[in-house]
Amino acid sequence: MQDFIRDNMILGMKPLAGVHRFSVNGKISGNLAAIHEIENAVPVIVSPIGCGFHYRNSARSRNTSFSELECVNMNNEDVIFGSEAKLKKLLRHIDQEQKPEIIFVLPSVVSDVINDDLEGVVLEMQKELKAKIIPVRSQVFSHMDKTNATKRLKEKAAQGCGAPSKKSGVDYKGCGYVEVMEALVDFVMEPQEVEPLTINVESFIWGFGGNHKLACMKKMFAKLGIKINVLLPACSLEDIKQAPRAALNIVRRKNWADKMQEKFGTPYLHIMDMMEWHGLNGITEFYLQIGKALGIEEKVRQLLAVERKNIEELYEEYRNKFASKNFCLFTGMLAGLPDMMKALEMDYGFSLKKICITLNPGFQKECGLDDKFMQLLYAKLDDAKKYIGSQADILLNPTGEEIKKAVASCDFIITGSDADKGKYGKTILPLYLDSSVFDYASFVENMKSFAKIIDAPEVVGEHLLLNRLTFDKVFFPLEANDENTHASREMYARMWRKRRL
Amino acid sequence: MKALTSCALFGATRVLAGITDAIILQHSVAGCNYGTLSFRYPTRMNNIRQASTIVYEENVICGGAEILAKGLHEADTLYKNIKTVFVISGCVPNLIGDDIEGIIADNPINKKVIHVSAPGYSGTMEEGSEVALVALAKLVKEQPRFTEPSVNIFGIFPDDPEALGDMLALEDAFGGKVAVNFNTCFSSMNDIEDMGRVHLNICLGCGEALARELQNKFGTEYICCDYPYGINGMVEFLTIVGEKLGIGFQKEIARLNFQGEELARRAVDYLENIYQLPAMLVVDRVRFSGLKKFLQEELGMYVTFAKTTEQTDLNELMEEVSKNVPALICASSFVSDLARERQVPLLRIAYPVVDEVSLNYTGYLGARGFAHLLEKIINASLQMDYKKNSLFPHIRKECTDEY
Repeated sequence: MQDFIRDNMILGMKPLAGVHRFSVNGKISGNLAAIHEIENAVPVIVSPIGCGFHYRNSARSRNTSFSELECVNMNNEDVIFGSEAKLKKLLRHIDQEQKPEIIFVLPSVVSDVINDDLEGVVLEMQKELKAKIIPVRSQVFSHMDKTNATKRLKEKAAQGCGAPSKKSGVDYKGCGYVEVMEALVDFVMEPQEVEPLTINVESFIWGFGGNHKLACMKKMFAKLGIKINVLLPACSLEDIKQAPRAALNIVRRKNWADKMQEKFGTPYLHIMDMMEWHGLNGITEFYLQIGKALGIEEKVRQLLAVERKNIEELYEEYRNKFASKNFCLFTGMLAGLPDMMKALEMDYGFSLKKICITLNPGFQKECGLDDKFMQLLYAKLDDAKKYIGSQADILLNPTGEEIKKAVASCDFIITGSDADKGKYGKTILPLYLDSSVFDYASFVENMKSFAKIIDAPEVVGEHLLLNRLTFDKVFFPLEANDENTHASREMYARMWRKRRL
Repeated sequence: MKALTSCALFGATRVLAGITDAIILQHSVAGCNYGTLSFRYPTRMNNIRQASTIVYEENVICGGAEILAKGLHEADTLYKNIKTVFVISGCVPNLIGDDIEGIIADNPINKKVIHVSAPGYSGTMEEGSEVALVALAKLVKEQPRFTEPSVNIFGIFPDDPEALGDMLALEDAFGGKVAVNFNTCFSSMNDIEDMGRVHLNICLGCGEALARELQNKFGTEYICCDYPYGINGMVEFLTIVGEKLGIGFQKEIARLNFQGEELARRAVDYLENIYQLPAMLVVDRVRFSGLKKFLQEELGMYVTFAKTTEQTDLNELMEEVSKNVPALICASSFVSDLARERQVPLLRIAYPVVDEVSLNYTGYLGARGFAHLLEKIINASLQMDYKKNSLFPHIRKECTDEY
């Protein structure tokens, strides 16, 4: 939990979500998110100076200032004659002066449009340079297709509540990160003899507290006699070469894993949505699937039984505590709500009495959903209630008066970062305290964080500085009367998010 | 190269972002919009007046006419209180030959639309700023001069966390004797139309091309000044402006000198420590000469390396620092890794400052601004993790290793 809290405070302070309301980062940012993790690697962007400048503040690496980033600095002349000569000169300079193990050559929109032969340059230069040079291909033009979110929404809607996770068809081609990972498969990995009970884990988007999650996984694996071969891509060139030695990949993005399976035969377990692996049942399923893939299912069952026994008493104590109070959940989610209800009610044992959903009025249009599909989403809430055995009253877009009544009937509020819920005079359990973790003890730690608040309730009250502003009911923290910012957000939706619906 | 400055599109966006009743519609790819917006985050993320047509792969083949027309139409509908749309075109539309002026002409909307061509490969951030400023010239109306002494100020941009504080400090320094009409930090379309009515244009390291054009068109004099850091920097600034406008700033200068004395008294122990230590400086053109002069003349530091961000890159600075470690680096947030590794205090003062916020509108100009600047320098030094566990870490390690 400490890693998680620190990540929230320090990484969360960086402007990723804030700017995403109006725009999307270019794919080079995704390229750098992967390269940033690799030891002794230098990325070179074949672009004008602006890309080399602003990607130094890489969004996907939470705005880490990326000192290693080099840029070809294409100008008018290069646009006409190509930038090959400049690129060669820069590669030589980097190889001699900085002596990296790997140099990644990243295309930009300009090198793509003028069709610079970057792979040709790399082939030629590799003979001359010590560093391994890896050309990264553009799979699509400037960023991935934003209809992914809608595709995923449709997949989720088709999936039964609590049903086992299926392989997703969502494609992250063009996110930048995936292109680098595929380049590693294509140009770095070498055939290896597979070592049983060895796995690779993809070190990408495990959320806040990711380090802790992977550390806990590692401990569990050690108890099972499973060795982590490589954390991909957070490793060295040599490690990447030996990645195919693993008997299984655990991945967050599947395109590169598909490629690796095809080329080296390495199967993978895709953790598409961490909420599907939430709580004790989710954790159990996670290790059982790994056990099955590695042929040690029985050993996994035995270990999980021991681990469960260690936390059982505390787990039940917290569940009883959570069940003895009434909670009012505030959310803006519709499609993700069944998973959230399952997490809160089944996994933690919270007794949700009221669920207030304030839906983005543009949700249906922005996601390109028809009325029939919307009905399906609403029906899924009923299915979820039945599956979970929930007694919660669901209030869709409740009025102020209805919210007051709902809160008055409960002991605690559970909500995200929308600050105005403090005014109802009830103690708030922040949703950020919940995160998917990968061992039983960590889940009980999450429970403990909630329990601490319940045992020593504090009320925010009316003096919260944030509440001096009037926020938009849906898009916190946009101010209600900030017309231009709302318009900029809507411009982004109309120009991009809805473009291909 | 390890770039420390950006491209023309960034420069144009920075200039036009300060016009409060206009929007920027970038006709470019997604990353340009995200990049320019993300650097504005430490200042404020409200009143966002920027959008993008988001040029995508199909537009490379079929052209960007359709999305630019849609962008103009949507902007017209959505931004209710906005009078003007500045279309900034980036690399791809210029490479594929989008006829942007033609598309704009074919798609009239109820707002004025002005195109600024700023493909990243065409020039640096500073050059892009000049292009955008010159584009404003055609919006200036022929009108009688203001009756009161007035100026336009070019060179303070809204994405600098200290910009508003600096603008307020400049206005305060004028003591109500000079009105500021247009400035690149916070102005309206009316202020642009009135640009020809002022008595003097002040170029703080930028805007000279526009000032020349305004001189030719309206006969308005202009001056190129250092960014007025420090007490003496501001005194010199007021003296030059006063001479040009025929205004006496004696009272304001006397107050500054008094405040300077007070500040020196409060900070004497630290000032004498800074005195004669070496400093390095890599900042944007706007701040360059003013900051260099301030360090040399008011703090008494030896400036051992000084270049604008256009003249150098991070590799050269790294090399310089490894050869002669300075006591202070004045640069952007992009130098923070280097400063941390070499344990040199860093004054984050050049664009972009992305790892520091300023919520107090103090800025770095005027006597209060000077105090603020000095606090930053002193605190950067005081808070550095330096020889915490031993004053002789290296020699101790060598001895330990030896035995």
